[in-house]
Amino acid sequence: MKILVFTLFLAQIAYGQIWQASYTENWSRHPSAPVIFEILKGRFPLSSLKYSKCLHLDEKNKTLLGDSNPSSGAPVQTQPGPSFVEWYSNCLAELVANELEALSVTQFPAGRIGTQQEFIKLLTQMYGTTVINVCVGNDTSTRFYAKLSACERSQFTDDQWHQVLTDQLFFLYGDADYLSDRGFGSGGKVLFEALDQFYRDQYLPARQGGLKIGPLENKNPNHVIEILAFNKYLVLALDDMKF
Amino acid sequence: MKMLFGLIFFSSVTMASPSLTSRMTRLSFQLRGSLLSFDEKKELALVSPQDEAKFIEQKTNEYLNSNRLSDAFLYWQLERFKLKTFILSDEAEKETQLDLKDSFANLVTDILNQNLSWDQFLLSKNYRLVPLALKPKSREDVRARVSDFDFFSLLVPSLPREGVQLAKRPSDPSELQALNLSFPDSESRVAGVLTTPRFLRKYTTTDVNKNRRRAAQVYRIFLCDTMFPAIPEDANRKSKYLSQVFAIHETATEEQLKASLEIGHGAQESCRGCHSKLDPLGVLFQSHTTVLNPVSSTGSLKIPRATETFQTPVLSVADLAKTLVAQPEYEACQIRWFWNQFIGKDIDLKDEKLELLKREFNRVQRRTKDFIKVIASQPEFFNPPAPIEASSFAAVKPLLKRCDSCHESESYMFSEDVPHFATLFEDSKSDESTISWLLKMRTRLNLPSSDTHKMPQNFTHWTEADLTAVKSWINSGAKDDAGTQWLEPQ
Repeated sequence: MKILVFTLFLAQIAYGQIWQASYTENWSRHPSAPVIFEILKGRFPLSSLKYSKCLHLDEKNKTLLGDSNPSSGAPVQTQPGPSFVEWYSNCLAELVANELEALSVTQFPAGRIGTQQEFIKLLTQMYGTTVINVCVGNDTSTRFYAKLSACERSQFTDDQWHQVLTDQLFFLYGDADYLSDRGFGSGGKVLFEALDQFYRDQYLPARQGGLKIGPLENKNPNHVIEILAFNKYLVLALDDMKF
Repeated sequence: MKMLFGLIFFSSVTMASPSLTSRMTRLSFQLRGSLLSFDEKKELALVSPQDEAKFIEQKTNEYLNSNRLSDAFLYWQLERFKLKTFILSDEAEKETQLDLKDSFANLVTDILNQNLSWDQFLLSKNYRLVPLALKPKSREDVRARVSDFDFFSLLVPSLPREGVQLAKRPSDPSELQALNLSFPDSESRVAGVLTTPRFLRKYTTTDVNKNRRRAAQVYRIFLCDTMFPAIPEDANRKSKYLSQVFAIHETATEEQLKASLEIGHGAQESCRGCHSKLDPLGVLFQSHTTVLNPVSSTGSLKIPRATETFQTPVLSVADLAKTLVAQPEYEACQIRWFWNQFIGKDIDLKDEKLELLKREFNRVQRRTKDFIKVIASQPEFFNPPAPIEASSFAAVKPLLKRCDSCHESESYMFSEDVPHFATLFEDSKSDESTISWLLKMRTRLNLPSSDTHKMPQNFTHWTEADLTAVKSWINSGAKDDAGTQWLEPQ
């Protein structure tokens, strides 16, 4: 629960005005179920390593994702209700957990995500060159994963860390102007500061104090991949999936 | 928890001129149903400001010709026609994809891919038939799955019967070999999507609906005239019209019920508004069950207008198609679909803009891709909608629908004629009635929890934030969409 309160705290920082979402009523601005899956797959490229109901329609989620009445064809839901929001936030947590699990290996996951070079290229896109340079250097051997998994925040200067966050947000969204357009403050500044402050003031002390937070349990809170995974969770939880 | 995430889902997009990335993201999302790839985001950084317009035009053309748009377009049309079937698993997904490649899907994708006139939805005489991908699994399945070959078999007896069902299911939809079937322009018994098995199979006829469902879809899809069945299709939700239709006590005899039905259903003014349109058009479809009947029927098309009512006999389904595409209501309705789909219902389509788009629609000879390009070039395409004020009617409308969902249920149904709160301003019989209901809402929302008249009574779907939003709206004067204040602010 605490983590949710933290998320709310961030939401309050980053957002000023209320945007009342609607769903199939404004279909062109809210993605349909297949598009939601496309977007999530794009943001969690390692998610394909593990089956997730967050990426496929099943009997349980089809209604909340906007299924239609079989007799009339009319949408059952015309707006994202609390159940959709809950599904989405739970899915973010699950996909973050899957991603961390995929990275918690010391061997290249052969045959599951292309060649080793392709996998390293994907990780470089996800995390940016700063993370790769600081954590792994030029090592493209199988030690690549072990080095990345063990890499800690303390290995980065503040300037380097700012670049890491910039790279991560670029992967998720795009350039600084786009972040501003989506209400994340000028050049994403509000978001950067909120994420960093949140980590220093609340997340790290809480984790060191023994806070259990589901998918991130048993991970080292100083590990870069945990911090970035949790950042991704926070940032995407703020996103209203409206384009 | 719900309240928490409800709050997280707030946003503010208030920039006056969106960045190139924002514009490209929207273009990509709207035309391809996906966001920009990582490499595309990097590509944007290399575009100089003076080249932005050219770059967007180039990308628009690229996206218009992408397979992604073609797939998305089919999905949108399945939504528009309410023919969408959901994919439930990987295995079912394959089956659905295969079954999607029927004559309806082929016609829809041809209209886009070949940049045909939008009118071909109604006027086309060309079909690409595909065999059924799967063996029917049960007797019900046999009835539900009618192959394209079976459907046209009475019109074209020479169609090969072996095409009805494949001996072996292909692994890829592209392996399904389609058979081209073209009818001459003079063929009056076929008319685009209206004579496809997918359309007629979905909107079946029964002794009760007598093809009115089909007629209602024609009005909804092509004229934006949406009508709802008085007898609800969902047994758990009862319509407020039910008491009008069956205006008789539940212990009545069968004879009394029949008499009541004849008198009550269709005779009342509120019923006649729809039935005077549906009944004569439904007759047109009367000869079609699940197979296209070679015997053509005649009907009548009625379109009420402000000054006079347009009514004309339609001698065949092809005649109906030709008549429809010539109507101004059709033109406006179809343009509105493009607007809603690519720009968004949340951005108002003003009259002068509609007139401009009508001219453009006809200038490009109603060609589909060309008109999408016209729409994507409108300034509204890239501009985010104005943020909704917390206390505006637009902000609380989705919440008021929750009121409707309870008040429509049986326990409240017959106590008093409760209006639909989400459409209160549109549906209300008089200003006095609107104000009276708003006052009732305000009183009951503000009652203490212990009061049995307190609303809402079922808190399952409500959070404190939701209640605060509704109270804030009503206490600040209950403004409607036009900004008219209906109550004195408190």
